[in-house]
Amino acid sequence: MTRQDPVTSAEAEAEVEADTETEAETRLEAEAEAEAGDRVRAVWHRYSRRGDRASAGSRAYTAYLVVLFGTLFLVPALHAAATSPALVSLRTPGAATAAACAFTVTACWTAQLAGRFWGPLVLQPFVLHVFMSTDLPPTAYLGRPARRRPAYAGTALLLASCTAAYLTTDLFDHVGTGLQAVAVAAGAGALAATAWLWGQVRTARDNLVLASAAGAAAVVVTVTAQLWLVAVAAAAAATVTGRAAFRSVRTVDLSRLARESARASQAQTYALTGTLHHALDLYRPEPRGLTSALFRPGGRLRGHVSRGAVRALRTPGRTGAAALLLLTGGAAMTLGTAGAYGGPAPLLWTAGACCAYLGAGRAGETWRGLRDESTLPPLYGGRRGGAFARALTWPVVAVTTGTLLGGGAAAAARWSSYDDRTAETVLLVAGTVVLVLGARFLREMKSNLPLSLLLPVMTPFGDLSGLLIAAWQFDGLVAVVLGTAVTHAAPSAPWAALLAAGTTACCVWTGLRRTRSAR
Amino acid sequence: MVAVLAADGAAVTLGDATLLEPTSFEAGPGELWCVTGGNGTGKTTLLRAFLGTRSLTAGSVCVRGEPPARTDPRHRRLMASLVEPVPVARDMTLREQVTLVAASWYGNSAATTEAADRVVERLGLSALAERFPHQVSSGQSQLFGLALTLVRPADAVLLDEPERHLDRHRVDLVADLLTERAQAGTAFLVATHEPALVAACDGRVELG
Repeated sequence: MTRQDPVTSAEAEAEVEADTETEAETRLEAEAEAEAGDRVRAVWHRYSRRGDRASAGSRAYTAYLVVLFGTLFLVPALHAAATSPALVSLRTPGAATAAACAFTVTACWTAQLAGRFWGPLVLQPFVLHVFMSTDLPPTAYLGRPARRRPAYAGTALLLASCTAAYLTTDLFDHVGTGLQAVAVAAGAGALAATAWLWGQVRTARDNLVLASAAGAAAVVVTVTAQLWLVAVAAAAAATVTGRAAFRSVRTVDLSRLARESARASQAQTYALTGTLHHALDLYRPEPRGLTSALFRPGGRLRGHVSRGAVRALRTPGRTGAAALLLLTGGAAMTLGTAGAYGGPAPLLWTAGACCAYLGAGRAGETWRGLRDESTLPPLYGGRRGGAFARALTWPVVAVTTGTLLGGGAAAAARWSSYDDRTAETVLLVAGTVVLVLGARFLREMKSNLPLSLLLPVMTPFGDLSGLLIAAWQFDGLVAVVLGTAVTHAAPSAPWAALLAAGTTACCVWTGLRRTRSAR
Repeated sequence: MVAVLAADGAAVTLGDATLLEPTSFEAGPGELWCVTGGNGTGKTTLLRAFLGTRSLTAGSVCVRGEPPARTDPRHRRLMASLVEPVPVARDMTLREQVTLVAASWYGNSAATTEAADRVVERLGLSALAERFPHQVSSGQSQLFGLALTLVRPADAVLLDEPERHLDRHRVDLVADLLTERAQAGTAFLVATHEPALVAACDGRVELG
């Protein structure tokens, strides 16, 4: 018979007791988790059966519209693409790899940016408030949207990118490159999906790190000229970022998420009621800093240009984006108008005009002031003159300077291509800049959706009122694209500049009519 | 016995302005306390301090002996509140929303429907329960907000002027419900200007 040491026995008992307690705690935690799952499911179950949810009929109608769109537009486009030469040729491995890298890294950056504003964890404010008021851990109720929404987005990107590649490139002419293109699209879809979540749950610094790493990796992979390596790198990056992003869900800032959800809900309401510009306004950054910079030391107001610049600098991120867009737009416009790049010049020209248009909107707040001053009743008696000079001086100066600098840089890099048609190029770029400013004026003077747009517009192709409403939402962009196309079709540069001026006049006249009707 | 809600010299100052003068009290389980005082004396600031959304510049507040922390699940389990505006779902009826809050605590059990029906009935919302939020008056919206707050289990409840937009009859209804919940063991801290609610309280913190 062995005699047990009392100390050892007590230790053993304590160990057994501790083990039993640990088991009990584990069991309780497991039960609590099961209970949490049940509670979350109960909430989603009841929410999905709410009183005013979309009916089966409305869902069927949406499906009908999708099928109709597919039959009328997508199938003929696919057929046409299958029977015509590719718009962009990517026969060499180097070109294909470069295009795939550019696409993948753009998808990653765009997804990150989208996540900062409207990430996958954004819920209906009421449902989020209900969950946030409970003792449930965030992973219990945010886990499902964190998994499902990026998965849906990744799949949608995979299908869209494959379709776009099939329609515009020759990658699907051979089975080998076709399979590699699908693999790249899958990798890019997975990376974009996880980057979307990453953009929302990680800090701004982490996002900059991921964006820089993605850019650097894209450069390295482009040098190797191996298309399959793009897919492997994207998939590996998606695995790493996905794991880290999912781990961050449990520590997500719920107060910030509540604010984002409230803003998204309001924006959704605006978008669904036909005023997308009001929805976008909700995402404008709040001005900060330079609180007394509008005045000179003597107390007098600064000039129009200085005031516009100060107001622009109060939203530095937005102004930085404007500078980038204007420089890029100026360079692309110059290359496009001169046809110096040797590629699709009209496409480059249009892309440059679109960039300049987007940059013009971000260059300053004075557009908004002009609209308010033109449409709202004056606070202090009668209207004062000079509103247009006060409001338009800064954007005109900013857009002209930005595009000039961008265009100048592009011309300096390829001077030999310009020396014989400098005057034409200058004329075309100037015409496009004027067109861009006119289109921006048209867009900024927009207020509420005109009721006349809700009336049916019957044509042999059916009711086109929906198309008109969509065009109204993006009227500035439509004016830029159509204006550039018309200008490009002109027989000579002077004629093109004249056409651009005419289109601008139409835009300005329509914008002025909008301000008058809004009074 | 540890007090459910306790303040010890809790004060908030912002520059030269005093938002909440040093305040001390203790509310035990089942006690209904009210906070009274003029506008700007710090009633809502005190409630926010207990919620954990407002930092104190002096003193302390405790919930069950621990400082409040919104990120702590235990704190969220202990505390229900109607201090900040509550977002509502435009596409759900009042009953559906109250039931959804109950479901977030009781899951898919019979207790969910029972709790929701009981609070809807006690607040006189049964006839309006199938309406959407935009179809009810301001006073009825206030009762709806109270229903969303009181349908869940809690050791402590913070209410900021629950009498807002309510007529005399509805105020008495609310006072009765709060007294009943307090008797069941819940501690209440209610910022109010309403004499009927003050009369129903076990203790009073006078600010200003």
